Amino acid sequence: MNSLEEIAIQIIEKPHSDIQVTDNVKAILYEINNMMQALLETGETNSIDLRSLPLLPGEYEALKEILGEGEVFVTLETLGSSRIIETRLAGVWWLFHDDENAERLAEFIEVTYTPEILKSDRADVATAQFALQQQLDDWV
Amino acid sequence: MAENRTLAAALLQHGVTRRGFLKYCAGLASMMALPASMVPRIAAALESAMRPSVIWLSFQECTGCTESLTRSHSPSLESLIFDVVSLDYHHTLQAASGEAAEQARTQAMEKFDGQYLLLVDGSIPIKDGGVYSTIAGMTNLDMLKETAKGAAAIVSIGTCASYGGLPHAKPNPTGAVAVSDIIKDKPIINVPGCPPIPVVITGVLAHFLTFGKIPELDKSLRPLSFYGESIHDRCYRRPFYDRGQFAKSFDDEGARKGWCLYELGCKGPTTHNACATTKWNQGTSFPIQSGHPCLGCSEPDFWDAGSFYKAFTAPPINVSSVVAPALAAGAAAGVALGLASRIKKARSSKRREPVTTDDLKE
Repeated sequence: MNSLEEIAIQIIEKPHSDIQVTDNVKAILYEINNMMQALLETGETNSIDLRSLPLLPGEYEALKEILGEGEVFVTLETLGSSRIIETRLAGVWWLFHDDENAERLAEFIEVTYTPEILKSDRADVATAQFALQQQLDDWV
Repeated sequence: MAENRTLAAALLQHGVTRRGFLKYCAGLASMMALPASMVPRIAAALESAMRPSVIWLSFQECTGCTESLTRSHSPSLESLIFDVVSLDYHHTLQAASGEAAEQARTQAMEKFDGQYLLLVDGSIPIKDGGVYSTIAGMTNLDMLKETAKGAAAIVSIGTCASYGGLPHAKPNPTGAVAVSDIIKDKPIINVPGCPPIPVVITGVLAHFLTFGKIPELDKSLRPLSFYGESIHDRCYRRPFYDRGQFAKSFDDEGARKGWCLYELGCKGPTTHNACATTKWNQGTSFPIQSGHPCLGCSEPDFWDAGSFYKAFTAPPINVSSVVAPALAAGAAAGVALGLASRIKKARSSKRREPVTTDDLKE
């Protein structure tokens, strides 16, 4: 069995076998591997700012191809669109933050169980619950 | 004019939700070249940071720095930063003119004495009492001294404000100097570049807003987060340099293959800036990626450092023969060339060779 198929995530597309895995790409994959180990052992979350890396032409595409896409695709509409995708590796998320003009603000690989930006804030939940309660009271 | 409210409150008023706020902070972290793990800390700091007053003075300049900022590639983030600061004086951007404009400056100085941020672009002419550039009848020199008195910190935007820039180049007819040549008793951050990268300008502002203090600086007063490494160190063409593969002209095989531009005069080895990673025009490219050597525009006296198109030194040896046996040897060769380059640059600087049109023909 292919080792990637043992990961309990539905893989949308397998990586092509002719990808050029350069030293830069390998270095990032080793870093992700270490981050995954840290997440498993201590719960520590980490991220990589992709815009800070001086990648050679083609390396970004290779990295994207290798990490691929898993089964979670989230679109967040605030200050422009954000796409949050779990890669074929569970716990490894690719976050694209665009502004209202569809220009890239930031791009991260996050190693975490759930990206922080997806979680509901307690204060927001309290506000929403209060609003719902008021609506229910009005209907009584 | 700035009111007593927090940045988070100002953002909320602009309809920014908590997730939007986190996204904003993630963008800031990336912009400030801070690790993404800092995002929660940035969010917490911005929750309580007060909205600051900003006074922007433009002296002997071409307005390129302001153009760089206002044409920046992430307008949402940039405009948000400018929405949350109170830009109380900027004579190119403000609606007021004449006495009303000058009144805005003096009012902000009085109301926020000791708290406002002073941004300066352009050099300051000091020859003949500073008569070569005046605003509202006041010399740049007097206006800078007067406005700097109550500033919490000063940000010199662009190479002119940071080092004197083009007006300072030989023969410097107006006696142009940098802000740091005049003001000695205030924290000064230099954000050089001709023009500076827009996200570097706002990144510095964002750092001050987030942490309430100036970022860590190098010996030339530049923020290390953006200017800590040379263009050469972060250049995607660096592997070609290490292998000794150089373009010899703009249309030879090496140029077509994207080899290193060192021998075409690239100043990347001695230039500190974030172009290689932050890039320009929607993050599309930077000069080297577009096939042109780095001019070194974020370094002092780059106009007088010799031809833009002459290498500091031709590599004295076949770099590849040294590098091939071991990477360590390659690093040593790089250091040696860099050192030789710096020595040559210092000599060139002393000789003050102006760039001529003949150089452009080479």
